Amino acid sequence: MNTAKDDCFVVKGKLALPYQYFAGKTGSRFIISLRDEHKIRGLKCEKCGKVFVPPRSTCDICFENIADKWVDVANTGTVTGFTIIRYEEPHQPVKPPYVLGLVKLDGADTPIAHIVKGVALSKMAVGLKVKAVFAKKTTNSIMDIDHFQVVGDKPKFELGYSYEELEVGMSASFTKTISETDVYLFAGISGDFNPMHLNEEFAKLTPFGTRIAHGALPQSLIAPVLGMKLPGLGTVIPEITVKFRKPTYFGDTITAVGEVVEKIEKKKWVRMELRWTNQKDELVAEGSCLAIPPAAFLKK
Amino acid sequence: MARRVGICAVAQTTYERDKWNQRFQGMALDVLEALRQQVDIKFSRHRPEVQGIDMTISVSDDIFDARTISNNAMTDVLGAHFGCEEKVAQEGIQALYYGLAAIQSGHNDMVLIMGHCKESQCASRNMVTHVAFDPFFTRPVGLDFCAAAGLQAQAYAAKSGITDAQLAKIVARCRKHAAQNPYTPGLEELTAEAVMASDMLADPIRALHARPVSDGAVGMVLAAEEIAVKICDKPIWITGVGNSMDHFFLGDRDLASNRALKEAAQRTYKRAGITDPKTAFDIIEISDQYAYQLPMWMEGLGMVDEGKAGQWIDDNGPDKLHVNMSGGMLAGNPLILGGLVRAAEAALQLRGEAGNNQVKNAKTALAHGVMGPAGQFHSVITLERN
Amino acid sequence: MKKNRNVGIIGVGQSVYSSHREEVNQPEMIHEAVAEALAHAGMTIDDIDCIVHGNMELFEMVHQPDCWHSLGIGSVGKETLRVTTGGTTGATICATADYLVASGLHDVVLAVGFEKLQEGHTTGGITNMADPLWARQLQTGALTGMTAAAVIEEFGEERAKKASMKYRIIMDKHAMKNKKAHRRLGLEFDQADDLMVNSPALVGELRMIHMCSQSDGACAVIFASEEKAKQFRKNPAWIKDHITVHREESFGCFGDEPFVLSHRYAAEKLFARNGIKNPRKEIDMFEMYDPSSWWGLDWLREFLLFDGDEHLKMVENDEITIDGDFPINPSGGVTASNPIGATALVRVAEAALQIMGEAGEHQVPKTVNQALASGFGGTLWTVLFLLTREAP
Ligand SMILES: [Zn+2]
Repeated sequence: MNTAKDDCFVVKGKLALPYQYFAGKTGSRFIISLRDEHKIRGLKCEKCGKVFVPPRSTCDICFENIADKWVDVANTGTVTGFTIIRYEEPHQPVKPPYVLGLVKLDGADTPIAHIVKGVALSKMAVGLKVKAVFAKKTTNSIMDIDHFQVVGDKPKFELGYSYEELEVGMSASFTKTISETDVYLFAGISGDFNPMHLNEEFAKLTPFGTRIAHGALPQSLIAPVLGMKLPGLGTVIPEITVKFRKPTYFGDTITAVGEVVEKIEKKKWVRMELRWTNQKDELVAEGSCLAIPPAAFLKK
Repeated sequence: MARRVGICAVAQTTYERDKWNQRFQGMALDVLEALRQQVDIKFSRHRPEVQGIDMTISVSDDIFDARTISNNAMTDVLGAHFGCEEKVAQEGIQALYYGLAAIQSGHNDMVLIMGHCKESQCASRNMVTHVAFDPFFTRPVGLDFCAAAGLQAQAYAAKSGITDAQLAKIVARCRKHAAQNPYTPGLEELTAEAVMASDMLADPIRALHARPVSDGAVGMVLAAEEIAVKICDKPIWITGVGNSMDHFFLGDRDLASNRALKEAAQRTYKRAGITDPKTAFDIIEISDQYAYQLPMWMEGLGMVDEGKAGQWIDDNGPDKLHVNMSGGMLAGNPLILGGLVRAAEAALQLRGEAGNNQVKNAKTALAHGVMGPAGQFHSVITLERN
Repeated sequence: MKKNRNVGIIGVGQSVYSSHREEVNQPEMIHEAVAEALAHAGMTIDDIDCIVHGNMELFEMVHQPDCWHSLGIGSVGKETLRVTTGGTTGATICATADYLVASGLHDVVLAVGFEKLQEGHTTGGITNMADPLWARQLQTGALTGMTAAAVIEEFGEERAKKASMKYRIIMDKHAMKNKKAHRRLGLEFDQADDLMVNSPALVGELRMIHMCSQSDGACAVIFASEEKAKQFRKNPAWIKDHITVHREESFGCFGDEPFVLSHRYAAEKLFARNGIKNPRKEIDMFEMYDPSSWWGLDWLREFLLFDGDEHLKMVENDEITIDGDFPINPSGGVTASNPIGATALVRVAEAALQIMGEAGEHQVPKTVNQALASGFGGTLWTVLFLLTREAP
């Protein structure tokens, strides 16, 4: 066919029909105890001895009716399988990337599929112990378990995001109010006893008309962002540049923000944009840095 | 023993990302016209004096088509006016299973099969497969067939030790064959390195490990032996069929076990009288919707020893066994048609009409289809020529 | 038809049909029918080789529903096939099961039809059947008043309306004998005049009371080879023959052909090839897919190949009642229960029960040697089954 695309209609349609699904007695009982008691229940087939979660009224191995053979299972369990969902669809309960795990609850024989949180994507593994975290608001569905949180054997150090886990657009911040004490301590640490930071009478003669904090003091607030949040523990910063835009007065509340803007594939480093703002949302300083995310050798 | 059934004609459209200039009826009509070039098609309409198509089996999916009773739109095209049309609403290869039974029952002599699907019609095929899950326990956590495949791929990789490099090699090989297949135009060749550099989709599945979205239609004419030998030179005989269903909930299964496929294969081999599947076939066409499935299904079919598929890939096993010479489903077929297209490609090989991908003197073939989350349902068929 | 081997129906199971089955989910409701069919045949699920599944996906918006339903059907580890053809689905899966057994591929096949219409929007679902480009804006579900208008024009308003209402009340009287039927209204013949005027009109003279229900329910039927059938049951209902006839989607696109209803075409061909010359006499009862009492009345003429007003007379003379000469739908038919994917399967199942003599309270009081069952769907499609008491 040599029809041009302009000559072909596309009729937009939407299958917007209402549906209501009945969970049945067995499924309802499961959801009610989840909702009202935060208790996960399984059904036991006496013929094959298996304890099933999610519930079903027939054992599809033995074809036995098991609708009233309830047993309690624990809210804790083990991850038996997982994948990391990176693609986005409207039917997903959380924004990707996220971990979709198969969780075998203690006391059950069949794992259930659910969201797993509390572990860096790169450290997700089969065998992790998890605990059900119940939703604050009920949805009368399996989502009354909001997710499973990884628990137990915590690693000695909670390392930050690896290069693979970092994505353009990820950001983190740290906020602190700068007090007179902070400025005095910083003067002691740096040896910079410049009277424009310490002597109000001298400061009146400067263009600022009052004492201001050392420029490096608010600047240093990016350190907890980069070293402890994003990328986080284990990060090395080989380069940082800053332009100062406005002074910081005593009592100002400064927020330092770092955002990943580029992934440098060759080096496995990231470039981050840095911004400092005060309580009036005025830009105090801006800049950028290179960050070396927690390296593989650190992970042992 | 029931009578033999032969595939007397095979035709298909190309499979492309978005056939914007055709409705699904138009794709099917093209295929029907192509089939008529191969065999004389009349419609018997229950008139005993007319030898022709007694029954049409269509394959489509109401949700992909956004039409209740989607075959309703096909009766005009498929000559079912005052004739019989029935829709297989399952993996398309099951139309062959059904057509075989319909002819062997003695009730029908000639069957027309026509499958169509336009994956491009829906906003996302994942949204369609999402509603295959039950509304209470698996839909709310966002499952769809892609997510389920991710879970299975992780389980299979953990069990078999298959590597990212081996999976990349499968995709690169697929693209090489697809470039020679006139039915899969527009797919560029890829290096394994490019595949390994592509983004993750559902770990360990990368974006390039997944088959592209596609539109297309495929059709066949089946006939009882006494008619098949009269109406065509090279009937392809169906020698065995088999299928099986696994548990629904993913946690109820061992996702790396290949349970349903093993049962489907054993049933097929038994019916076909095959004792050593490793040497029985000149052509193997399997439905690899994602790269990990090619080695995994090969293990399930008993063609490769369990846990050895990684090494088998490194040893160029797929070339030696002539697996997916067409490019396979990885080169892009709509979800419900993959298995039927595999059978069509296998039949083309046995007829010596597979063009640049032709394997010399191919006499026997196996085709495979899969449906449901993480391979809940598998169907296998074996073919041979005289 | 030269069949490879005989196939008999040896087990029938049905869930209760109702407008609301909140206490069960889809696989659980199907399980009720499957469990009853197995018990009826004296089998366990292990005796089943293959399962055929059918329903309409958009009525519940479940993609490839046989995957989920495996929880209740017992299909794990078995061969399965899913076939759907709209309203005819239930009868089509009987044909499917017949082929699978007759071919020798399987000895015992279970066919399962179901619908849980309460979970979706049936009229919206049916409207989505129409072509999105040419017809969807005009479609009003399955409601049409054309048949009522045609019958009225041919036989006069009074006679036509009376006959269709009598047909409806007979069906309700039958449904009262069937505990599983959905609508059991307890209608009496003296209500006819009132209903003809006061039942809410849907389209023209098609009124609410004439129309089929919208039901939840499942039906399961077990088919077996002659050898297996005789092992499990001394009175199987044998499948003598069946036929499927479609019409085109765009009515009249084969413009120069005389208009023949698919029902008549199917009946003509089926009777001819089975040597049935006088269907009215040679067939003992009929389970008809009658989506409304107007259609039931009108189609009786098509199926039994009448030209005049014999079909009206059959209704007027009480011949179609359960104890009449030619009982139609002793089960209550489709106006009583209509779980769409199961509806046509229920017709075959009920005809089989009549042949077995196991229909319980709604068993016809005579030996049924030969029974007819029909399915209807799509744009006037027909599936017609002929069942017999003696193996063919
Ligand atoms: Zn059990």
